[in-house]
Amino acid sequence: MRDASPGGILLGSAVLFVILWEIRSALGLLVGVDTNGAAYFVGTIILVGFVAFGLSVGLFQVSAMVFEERRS
Amino acid sequence: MSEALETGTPSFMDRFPQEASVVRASLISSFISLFLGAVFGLIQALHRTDVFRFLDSQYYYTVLTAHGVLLVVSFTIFFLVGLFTWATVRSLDRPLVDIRYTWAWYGLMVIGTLMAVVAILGGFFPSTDISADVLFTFYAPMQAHPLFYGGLAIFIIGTWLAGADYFRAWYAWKQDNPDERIPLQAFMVLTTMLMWYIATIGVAIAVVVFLLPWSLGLLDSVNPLLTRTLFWFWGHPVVYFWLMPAYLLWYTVLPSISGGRLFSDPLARVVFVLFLLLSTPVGIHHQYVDPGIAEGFKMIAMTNTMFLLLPSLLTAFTVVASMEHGARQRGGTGLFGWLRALPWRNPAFTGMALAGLMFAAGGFSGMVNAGMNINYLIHNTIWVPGHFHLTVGTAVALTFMAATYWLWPQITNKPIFSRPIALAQVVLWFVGMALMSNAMHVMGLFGVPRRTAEPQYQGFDFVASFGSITELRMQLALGGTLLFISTVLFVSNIALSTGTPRMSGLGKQLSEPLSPAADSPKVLDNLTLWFGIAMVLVVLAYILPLASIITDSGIVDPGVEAVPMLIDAATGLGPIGAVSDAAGRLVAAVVGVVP
Ligand code: HEM
Ligand SMILES: [Cu+2]
Repeated sequence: MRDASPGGILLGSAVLFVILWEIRSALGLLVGVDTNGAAYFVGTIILVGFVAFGLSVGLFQVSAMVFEERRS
Repeated sequence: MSEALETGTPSFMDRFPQEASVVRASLISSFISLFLGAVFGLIQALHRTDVFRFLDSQYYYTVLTAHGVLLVVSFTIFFLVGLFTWATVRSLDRPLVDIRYTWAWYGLMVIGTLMAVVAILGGFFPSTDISADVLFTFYAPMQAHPLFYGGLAIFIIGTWLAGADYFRAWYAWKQDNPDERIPLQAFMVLTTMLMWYIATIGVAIAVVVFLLPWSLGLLDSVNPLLTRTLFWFWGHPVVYFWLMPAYLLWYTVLPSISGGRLFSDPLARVVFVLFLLLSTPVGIHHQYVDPGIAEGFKMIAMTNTMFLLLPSLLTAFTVVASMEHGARQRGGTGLFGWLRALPWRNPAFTGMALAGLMFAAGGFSGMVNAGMNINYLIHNTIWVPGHFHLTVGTAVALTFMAATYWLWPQITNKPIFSRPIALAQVVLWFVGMALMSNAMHVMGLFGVPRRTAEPQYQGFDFVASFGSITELRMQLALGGTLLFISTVLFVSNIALSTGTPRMSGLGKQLSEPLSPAADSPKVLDNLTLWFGIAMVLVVLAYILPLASIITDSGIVDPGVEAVPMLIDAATGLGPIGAVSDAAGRLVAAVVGVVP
């Protein structure tokens, strides 16, 4: 059973990726924590991939918003 | 999917076929510029990061000038005139006064663009003495071929005539509707054009009085500080000229796409009036480090700039409130739960929403640019391109692309070729820009300069406080590549849409605002009053700085020698040499990748 639409997964993953990756800059610039670039990147990709996969197979239940999709 | 798109409403093309042709032509011109600009953007992103260099570094400024001019002059302004033509005709609900006149200004804009582009591309051929490697800011004493300045002047005259076209349509409408409020979209178009008329005084004087005669040899010298100040007199308001069409879309189209209504028509009018008043008397904030302008004048420009934050914050509030209204109309509930009820599957909506999100980030880095003291930290570093790729390069560009998915069917009577590709395209832009712009901002903080083909210096290394400069370079190159792919997806999706079957009923209605025009004081529609006040503010902001520049160093500065931007044909490669050299590198790279 899956509630998340492919479009929603695509968009959500993209936004999650951007947020996680920007956190690295914030850690580096503001807090002075120098995370390993390659490891952080791979970790981010794995995490985002896992969330996307989980959403698409219904591992995580997002309560679906059902409404008439008024295409505009 | 096609049935779902049909609303039975006659489209703009059904109702105003002649105007629809002009809108289409303008948008196509805009997208051609976008595509070419993106090609140059990719070249830069790969070249300056040393990922892939197939052109000799001496051509970097030709590339960069082409990128800047094609994107921030042609792409944006052609889209603007197309959109404004649509908005004027749609909101006044009547055709333009004389379509031949309309084609005339469009033609002038095309001729002007072609002249400037020929002059710029001449830079690739050192054996001709045509070149314009002066970047889109064309600071003297760098000198371009007269074709460049002439093209620019003709292009701007075209936009003036376009503005007059909108005013004519409004005037004709007013004769028939003497007591009605100006429809919101027409109001936005007219206030924006008034701002443009004021702003272009600066660039028109710089180009027509000084730079063009100087490049023709009629003037021996110019005063670089004066022409530069006149440039920025226009150079700041032009950013609102790019932004106002995006605002028009956010205010009048986005609420309908979200399934709701604009929160407040009067507030929208106030915002546009504020931009008319405040856009121009701030240009000196681009000259914080220019010697020859007193600190006090810079301080005034900074103060005015901070006031400009107000209409942008008002916009953020109104637009989000309208989206929330739409989401709740669609059944969304909760403090944040309504966000899920927005039409995220619609590329037009998602593109505009992501553009707005990035604009907020761009606004933050803009505050750093605007502060007189912290500006020194990032001035002329690649932080600055990082900033404006979020604003004009995303808030504006992505909104235009997203809106095209909504508008295109209405001006062609053909649906978009693929909505899934369109959705992927806007998301890809968002990710690509997040990577590229983040890398640019961070590198800028580490002091890496902008406008440099080879930002590596012998015996000097930039110090990264985290990660490494190499890593940031790779991030920039990756982001730039994704952006290029996104542009290709956009342009080909639109191009393929010309092949989709023609159908009827693709028209879309725009919803009425929750708080209508009648709620706003009548004085808001008094365009003469606002224009007058705007002029007074401009005079106050500029008369003293300009007077002191002229008394200090004259109308023209005889000590300044022109620096024509010509690559020395003796040391540079000839045109055939350059092309074959570039082709050789390209082949080598391709062969290197193919196993
Ligand atoms: C395909 C996407 C794009 C890529 C890969 C890209 C890449 C770049 C890069 C790397 C630079 C910095 C060059 C330097 O300072 O050395 C730059 C500058 C610039 N870009 Fe873009 N860009 C893209 C899209 C856009 C868009 C959509 C706009 C505006 C609508 C834009 C406007 C500019 C401007 C005005 C400059 C500054 C030119 C100058 O310094 O004279 N770019 N771009
Ligand atoms: Cu500015």
